[in-house]
Amino acid sequence: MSESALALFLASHATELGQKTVEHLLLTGISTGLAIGLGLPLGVLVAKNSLVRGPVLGIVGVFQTIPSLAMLAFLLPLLGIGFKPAITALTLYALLPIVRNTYTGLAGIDRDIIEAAAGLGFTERQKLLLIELPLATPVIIAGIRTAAVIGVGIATLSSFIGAGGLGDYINRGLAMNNTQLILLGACSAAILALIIDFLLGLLGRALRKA
Amino acid sequence: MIRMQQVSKTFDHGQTFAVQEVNLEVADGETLVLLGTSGCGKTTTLKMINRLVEPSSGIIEVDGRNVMDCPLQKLRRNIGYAFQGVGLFPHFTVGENITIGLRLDGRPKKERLARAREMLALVALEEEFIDRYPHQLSGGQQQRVGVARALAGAPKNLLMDEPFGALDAITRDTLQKEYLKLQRELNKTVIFVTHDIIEALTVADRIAVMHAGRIEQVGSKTEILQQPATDFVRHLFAKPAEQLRDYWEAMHE
Repeated sequence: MSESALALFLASHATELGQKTVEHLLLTGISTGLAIGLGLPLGVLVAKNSLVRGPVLGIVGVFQTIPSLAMLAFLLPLLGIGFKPAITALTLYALLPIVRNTYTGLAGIDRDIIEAAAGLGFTERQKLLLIELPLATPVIIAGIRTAAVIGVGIATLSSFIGAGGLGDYINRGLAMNNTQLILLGACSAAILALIIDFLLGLLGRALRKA
Repeated sequence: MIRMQQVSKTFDHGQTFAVQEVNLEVADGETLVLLGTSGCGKTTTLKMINRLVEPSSGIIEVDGRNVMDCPLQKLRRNIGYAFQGVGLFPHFTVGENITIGLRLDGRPKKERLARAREMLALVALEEEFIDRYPHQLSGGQQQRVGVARALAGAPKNLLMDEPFGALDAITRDTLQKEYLKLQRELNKTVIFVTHDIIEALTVADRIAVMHAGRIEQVGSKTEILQQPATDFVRHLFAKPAEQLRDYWEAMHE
């Protein structure tokens, strides 16, 4: 395809591409957000309570091992088709890196720092908010980055259950045997993943300086 | 004043004792050194006073109050604690580290700043250190900040667990001398844990020698040196002299 033909192809899909990208961002953003809301407290719980550590890490680990298409298929009879089952599946996938990194970040803090906080009379809450979470932040952000990037990739599959997003192009391209459409979906998703990873990296660096 | 009566600690339901039937009394303004080899229970003894370790039995009183009846945070806020690991908070500046206790108590920023300056002067650090981060300091400077942090809440009592243990001999000597000067000025009630006999003799008003979880002897420096109560105490204090003799012979070979 010549350069002008590529430009023409992109121009003819520009409006739709924007819409699909927004859908894709919503799928990834909402699911990663939910996974942060759920995974951060779970990670703290797992770090503080050795009794639930094994079971919780085990369960969120199992989600990760279920192939994404199979997960979507499992959720079909439970939640039907569309946005809801897709968000559920993506959230479950995003949980593991966030829970595990929160735990790793908290567990990796120098024992002397924890002892100093205890000796100075911090309450558990003060210790968590003022010392532990700030010090674990770089590791937690790394987990969120992983979750978001995986999310962008898996979100392309949610098109199969009618949740929209850039996967629609891949789906349509496969059905119509149209390589250009497949590439449009795949390349856009890849570029989106790189941009999100870059932005979250910047956020992590900004937080470390703050 | 700090008092311990028949205090014991077991970590395995009474099979072995890390600390056994310890009785101690530290008078106001006195520095008592807990001296012993590693694993003798001196750190465990110290940590039971601010309940970083819970005693298995016995009574511990700080200024006449049983520590088990004190709210945990309040108890620790009123006892300064400095230890070998220092444990400065790497994401806080020196000033913020020193006054973190005041921040937890909700003291205004202006007061905290003034206190940080005052504490820096007390531990002989220049005022410009206030905005530096812990990783920018040398080991000796970090330990000074650790001591400043322990003293910032103006506690009457101070627990020091080998605070100078990780420092080179020359820096340690400087800090020991400064500690003595500081203590003459502040008159805190101090329990100072060390395994270093020379350090013990330098900073102590009285020394309690510990061995295998028990107190072997408590007394003034002269008492311990001239009338060692047990063979362990005698051998312990003979050690530096032996080492010096070896050193002397090596020098003159």
